[in-house]
Amino acid sequence: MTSMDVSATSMDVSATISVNGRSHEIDCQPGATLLEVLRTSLGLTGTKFGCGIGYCGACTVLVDGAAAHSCCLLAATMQGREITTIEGVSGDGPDPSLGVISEAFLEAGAVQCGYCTPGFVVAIEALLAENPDPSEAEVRRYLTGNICRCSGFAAIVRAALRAGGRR
Amino acid sequence: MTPVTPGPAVGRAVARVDGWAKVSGTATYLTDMSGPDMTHAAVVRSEHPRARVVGIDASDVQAWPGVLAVLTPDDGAGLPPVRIFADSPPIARILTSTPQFVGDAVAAVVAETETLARQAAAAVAVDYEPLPAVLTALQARAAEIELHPEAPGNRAGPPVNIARGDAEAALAGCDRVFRDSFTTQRQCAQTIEPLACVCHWTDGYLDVWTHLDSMFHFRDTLAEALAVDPERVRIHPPEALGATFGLKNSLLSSLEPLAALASRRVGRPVKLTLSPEESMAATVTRHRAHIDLVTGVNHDGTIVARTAAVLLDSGAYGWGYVVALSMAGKWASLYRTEHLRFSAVSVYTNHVPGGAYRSVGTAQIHFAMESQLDEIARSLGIDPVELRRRNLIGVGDQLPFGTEIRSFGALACLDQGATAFGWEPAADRVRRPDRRPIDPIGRSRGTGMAMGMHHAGLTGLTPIPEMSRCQAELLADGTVEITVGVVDKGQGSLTTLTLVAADELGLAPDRVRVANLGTAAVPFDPSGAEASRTTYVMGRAVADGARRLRETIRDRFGSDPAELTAAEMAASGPTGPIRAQGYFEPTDRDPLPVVGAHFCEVEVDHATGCVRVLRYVAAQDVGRVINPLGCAGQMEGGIHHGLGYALTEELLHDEGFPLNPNFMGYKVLMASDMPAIEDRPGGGSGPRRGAVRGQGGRHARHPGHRCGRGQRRS
Repeated sequence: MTSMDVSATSMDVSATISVNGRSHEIDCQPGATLLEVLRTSLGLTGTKFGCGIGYCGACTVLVDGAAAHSCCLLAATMQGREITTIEGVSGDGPDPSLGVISEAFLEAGAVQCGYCTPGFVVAIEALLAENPDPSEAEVRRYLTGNICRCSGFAAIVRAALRAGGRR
Repeated sequence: MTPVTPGPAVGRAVARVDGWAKVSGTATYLTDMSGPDMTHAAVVRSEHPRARVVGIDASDVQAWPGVLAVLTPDDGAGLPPVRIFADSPPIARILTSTPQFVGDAVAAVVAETETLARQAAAAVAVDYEPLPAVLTALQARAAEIELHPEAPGNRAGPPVNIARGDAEAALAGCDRVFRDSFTTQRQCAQTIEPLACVCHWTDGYLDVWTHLDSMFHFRDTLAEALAVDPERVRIHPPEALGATFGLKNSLLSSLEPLAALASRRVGRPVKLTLSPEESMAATVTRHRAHIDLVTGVNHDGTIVARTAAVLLDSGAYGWGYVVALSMAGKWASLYRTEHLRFSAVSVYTNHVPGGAYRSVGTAQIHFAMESQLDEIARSLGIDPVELRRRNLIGVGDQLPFGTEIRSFGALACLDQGATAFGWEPAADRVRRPDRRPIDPIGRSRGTGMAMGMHHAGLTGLTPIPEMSRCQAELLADGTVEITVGVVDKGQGSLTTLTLVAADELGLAPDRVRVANLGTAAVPFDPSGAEASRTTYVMGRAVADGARRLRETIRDRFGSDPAELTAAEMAASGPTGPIRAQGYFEPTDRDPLPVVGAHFCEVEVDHATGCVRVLRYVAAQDVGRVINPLGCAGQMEGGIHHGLGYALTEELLHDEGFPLNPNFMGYKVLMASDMPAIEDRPGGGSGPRRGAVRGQGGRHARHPGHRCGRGQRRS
C-alpha cells in the first residue's frame, strides 16, 4: 500500500536534494518516495499521487531533465540530482505566470478535471527538450507514461503539437 | 489567453475559468487538503465475498503511539441502515459485521498519519466465519441463498416492466425473428485522483469536503445515515475535483459516513483517502448486465416487434432498477416499433456494488441493440446504415412517458457521419467479415458503426423533482456573481454557465463569476451534476436568473449592466442587495433525448488478436454548442471510455476476489492506442454539430455515447 506521509523517526536518512533550483536538506524514512517528500515535506502539491505504481504519470517530474515517475523513486537516492516539478515549469509563455506548454493546454482545451495535467505538462516539457517539433505519432508514443481519463488524449496531443510549434 | 472581444460569448472557444489554477498545479484537490489538526483514517476490509465477523482484535493496535481510535461495527450500532439511493432497500452499514463482498468495510483505524493508519488497519485481526456466496446474477435470481431479509428473492429494487401492443403475437407474424443474448462486464471509472473525503464534526455541525455529483442529495442521504438533521450537515466542494464519471453519484457507505463517525469519535478532522486499489475494487462499477433480445422484422428491414429481458447484477448494494429504467427509455425509443415488451430484474450478489457510470444503462443496452442490428443487417443483406435509417424515430414520435419529440438529429447524424467517414454501403468487408482480405503479415481491417441515444435530465426517472435554481447578484464592483448547487468535476460546467450568463446579462465573461459555495450558501438543487443535466437544466436556470437580474438593474439604475459604472452605483446611495433568482423546470414528461452515430475502422492482427482502432468519426446531436473546447473534450473523453469498454476494460474476479484492481492490471487505452478522432467544427456543417436546431437546442448537452462495438457476447 502506498502512502503519502513521511513521519520522522530515528530511522530517518538525510539527503540534500535540489528542487526547482533550490537546495533542500531532507530527513525521511529510507522508503520514502520522492513524491511523498515533494508533497509532504516541501509542500509542492502540484505533483499528484495517482496510481502509486509508476503507471499513470500524475507524479511526473524531471530528474536532470528527464521525465520520471516520482512515486517510484526513493527520495534518499536523489542526492545531487536536479529535480523540476510543475511549480518549476513556468514563466516562459506570453502570460508571465505560465509556460508555453501550460498556455497551449488552456488554448487547446486540454484541461478538464486537471488532476493529470501537471504530470502531462512536465512530460511534454521533457519531450520538447528532446524533440522540439515532434510529429503526432511521436507525441502519442512519448506520452504512454501518462494517463488522462477525461480527454481521450486528443486535446492533450493538440496542445503538445501547438507548444512544439512555438519553441 | 482568450481575447475578450465584443459579441456573444456562447459558441466561442473559451479557456476554462478554472484552467490557470489547474495547469499551474496550484489548484487544491481533496487529496491535497491538509491541516495542523488533520487525522487520517484507513479501512479494514473483508477478505471474503460473504462472511460473518466473529471477532475483531485491535488490542495491540490501540496501544501503538499515534493510533487514536479503532472503529468497529459497534460504532454504527443504533444508526439506521444506509439507503444508498431513493427506492433502494436500506441494507448497507457504515461498518458491517456481515460483509457482502471482498472489500466491504468491517473496521477502521484513525491515526496521526496516513501511513500509520494503513499499517494499523493491516494489523487489526479479524476473525471471519465464511458463508456461502452468491457470485452470479443467475444464482441470485434463483434465490436459493437470500442475502438480505429486506430484499426477498435478492431483488435490488422493484422490477421494471414496460409494454406496448402485443409483442408475442406480433413476433409470430414477422418474416424473420432474431434471438440473441449479450453479457456486459464490470467497468471501473478508474479516476486518476483516488477517492477521498475530509469530515469534521464539531459544535454539532458536520462539515464535509468530498467528491460528489449532487451536494444536496448527498447531504440528505448522509444526514439520514447518521441520523442527524440535514441542516447540521454542510457539504463543501473542494477547489478542484478529480473526475468521477458517476462514481460519486450515490453515497458510499464506508467513505463519508465512516469519516464522519471517526471525526465525532476523535474530535478532530479526519481525512479518508482510498488507495487506487480500493477506489477500483471497493467502491462501485458499471452494472454487469445479461441482455436477451428478440427482434421481429419484415424482409425489407422494418422492425415490427421487440422484446428485451434484462438481468442486472447490482453487486452488494447497487441499484440496478434505475439502470434498467434508463435502459428501457432508450431501448424503446431509438427505433420505431409498434409492439414492445421490456422486463428487467436487478439482483444482489456478493460482488463490488454496481453504481453509476457515464450514461447509466445506455452503454449496456446499446451494445446489445446495435450488435443485434448488425446481425439483422447481415442476414437480410441490407446495409447497416440503411437498416437504421429505415427504423429511426424522429420529430413527432413519442418518447416512453408520452412526450412528443420536437427536435432529434438522429438521421442527420447518420448521414453526416456516414459521409464524413466515407461509409461504403455495399462494402463486402462490412457485411461478410469471413471474406475480408488478410494482408501478408496476418492483419485485416474492418469498419463498423453504431448509434446511441441518451438523455439529459432526470424527468420521470426518479421520484426527485427535476428543477434547478440559482441566485444572481450584482456586486459593488459591477461584476455579477451567480451561485449554483452544481459541481464542476472537470466537465467545464462553471465555464459553460458563465458564458450563458454573460450573454443574458450583456456582459463580457470576465465580469461574471459562477460559483458553488457549498450547501449552506447556494440555492437548493435536488440532483446536482448528474444525469447529464447541468447544462440543460441549470443552464436555463442561470439564463433565467441572469435575465431577471438584468431587468432589475435596468429598473434600479436606468442602465444596462454593461453600461453601469461604479460611480453610478455609488451615486444611487445605499441599496439592499441587488439580486434575482433563476429557475427552470422542464415541462416534458421525459428527459431530453440526445443521439449520435459513430463510425470506426479497426485493424485486427489474426495471430495475436491485437486490435487497433485506426479511425473514428463521431456525429453527435449536441444542440447548440456553448463552448466548442468543452464540447470536444466531452465527446473525445466519452469515446475513450467507450473504446475501453469495447476493447480492454474489465474488472475481473475469481470466486469473488478482484484480480486486477490497479492501473497496470486494469487496462485503459493510452495516447498511443487512441485513434485520431475526426472533428469538424467549422461552419456548423460538420458531424459534431449534428442537426438539432429546434426547441431543445438552446442549451446543449454533451454526448454520452459510445461506439459499443466488438464487446463479448454469449
